[in-house]
Amino acid sequence: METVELIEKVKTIYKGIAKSIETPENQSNRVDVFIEPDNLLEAVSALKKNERWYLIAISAYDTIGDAGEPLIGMIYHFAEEQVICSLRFFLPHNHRVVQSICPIIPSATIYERECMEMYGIDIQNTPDRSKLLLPDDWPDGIYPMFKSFTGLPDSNVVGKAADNE
Amino acid sequence: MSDINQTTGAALQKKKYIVPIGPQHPALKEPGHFEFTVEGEIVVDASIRLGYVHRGVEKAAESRNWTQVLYLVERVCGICSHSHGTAFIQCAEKLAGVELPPRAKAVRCIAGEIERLHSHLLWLGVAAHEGGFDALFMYSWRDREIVMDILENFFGNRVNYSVNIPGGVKEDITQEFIDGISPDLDYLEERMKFYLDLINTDVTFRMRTVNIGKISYDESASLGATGPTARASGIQRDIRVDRPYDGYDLFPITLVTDDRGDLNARFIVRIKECLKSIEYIRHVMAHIPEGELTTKMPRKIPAGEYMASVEAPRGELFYFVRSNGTEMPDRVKIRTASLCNWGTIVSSVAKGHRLADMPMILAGIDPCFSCNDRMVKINFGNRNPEIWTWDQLRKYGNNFYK
Repeated sequence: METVELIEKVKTIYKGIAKSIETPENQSNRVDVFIEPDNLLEAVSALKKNERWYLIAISAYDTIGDAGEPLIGMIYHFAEEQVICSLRFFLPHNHRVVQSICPIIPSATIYERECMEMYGIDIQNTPDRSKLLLPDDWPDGIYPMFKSFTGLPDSNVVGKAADNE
Repeated sequence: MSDINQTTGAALQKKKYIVPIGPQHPALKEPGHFEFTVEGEIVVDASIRLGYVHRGVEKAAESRNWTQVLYLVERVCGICSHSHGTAFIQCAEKLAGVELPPRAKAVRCIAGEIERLHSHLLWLGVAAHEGGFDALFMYSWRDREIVMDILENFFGNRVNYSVNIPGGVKEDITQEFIDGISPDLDYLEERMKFYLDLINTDVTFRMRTVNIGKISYDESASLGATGPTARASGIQRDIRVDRPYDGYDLFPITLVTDDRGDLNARFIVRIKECLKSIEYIRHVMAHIPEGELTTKMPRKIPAGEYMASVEAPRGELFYFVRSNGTEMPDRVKIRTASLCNWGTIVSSVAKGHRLADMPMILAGIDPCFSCNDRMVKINFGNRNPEIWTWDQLRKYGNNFYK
């Protein structure tokens, strides 16, 4: 299928669900679909129902909104042939809650665990909440991919206390 | 009495055991931990724990300039360092609106295919070793040395050869390179045909691989498997074809697929891909465009976002890069090529298979610990979980088939 045709299909799928749909100037094979966080499951189901789209990854990033408010940008990257479709939304720093997409795509568990650990996102109904990447004794409430994170306080560094004794 | 026996028998049948393996992992020389839940010999569940060699590369990338990050991401993985560099720098080049000279694009493709050759040969040896085929392991690693010598002689290093620089490449394909590499390619082609013949005909090898670890087309498609793992289930998915990058639009490559979906198919797809890579390198060398190797890149990359994929030897390597207009990237997200295939193993492939087949099934996806960083635990139900080394699991598998 041609790129334009696939992008048009995405636009048709998300008519009524998306807040806005953009095709970036620097990447003609990509379509960014901005949605409300509450519509995530509906949006993922709609895409999976229509074509053989596969989930590439789930990305999160720490950013600032137009009004200067801190936000976490969430991107669910999907692809089919040459087109990348990104479902995107923003979560306020003080309410980082989103539904798990594992009931629709079971293999998303790895990406969701990463987002929970690195950005402290509360992914509800995700099947496995255990640590994937960080050490078991990593302190609660510290998320290393926040822009404000510059390192653990000395008291939290494993072996540091013993070294000082 | 018989009621009691039946009850006890039913209770025993319901017992599940967890067999933990790792995190020390002698076969792959990298730390990982897996947990297999088994009922008897059959695996009914599997889980993974990563992070033993997590190095915070994504965080580190936010405090280095674009050129430094290029060298940093090449160190995510020693096996597919060129793929990481290519995926990252492609994002920077696209954001800067820089178009590579055709010769540089061709050089990147040649380096990428040489990398595929050494990665697939390394995998062939590891996978063979997991099945107890140590002669095949030694043969394939001996042949891999030829590829490593090519990399060292012409690109300056066995791993982390850094062919890419921002806006081009630093190595040229000279007549000396062509003359030096051609006999090696002929030899490797001959060896690959030998391996293909062996995999198709050796009775013991076929017993350990045919109809083992099957993934159907639908499972593979819905779980997002990539690379040779997906193509061995008949999925027509290859980034070099679907979203051609660098020179793959100037010099197209054809797909290699197999629709059987078992472990044997994964061997065949990878070996045929090696043959395809050899053919491709010869073709590009014969038709390499004249011209410059680099073009000018700005130090500051304009603000924006780019998402790039590269067909690394293990599958789709994905980079999402955000620039805020400064000399350093704002966010670099890396989805490594085998991470999605680990998800495939955990969600689907491991379940329903014999514990004895696990070493070869796991090796079949070409796992990379540097990429993703992981472990295996085998649960024996209400008995305390036993932690097995990878070597123990491998020996258990090989003894099972004796």
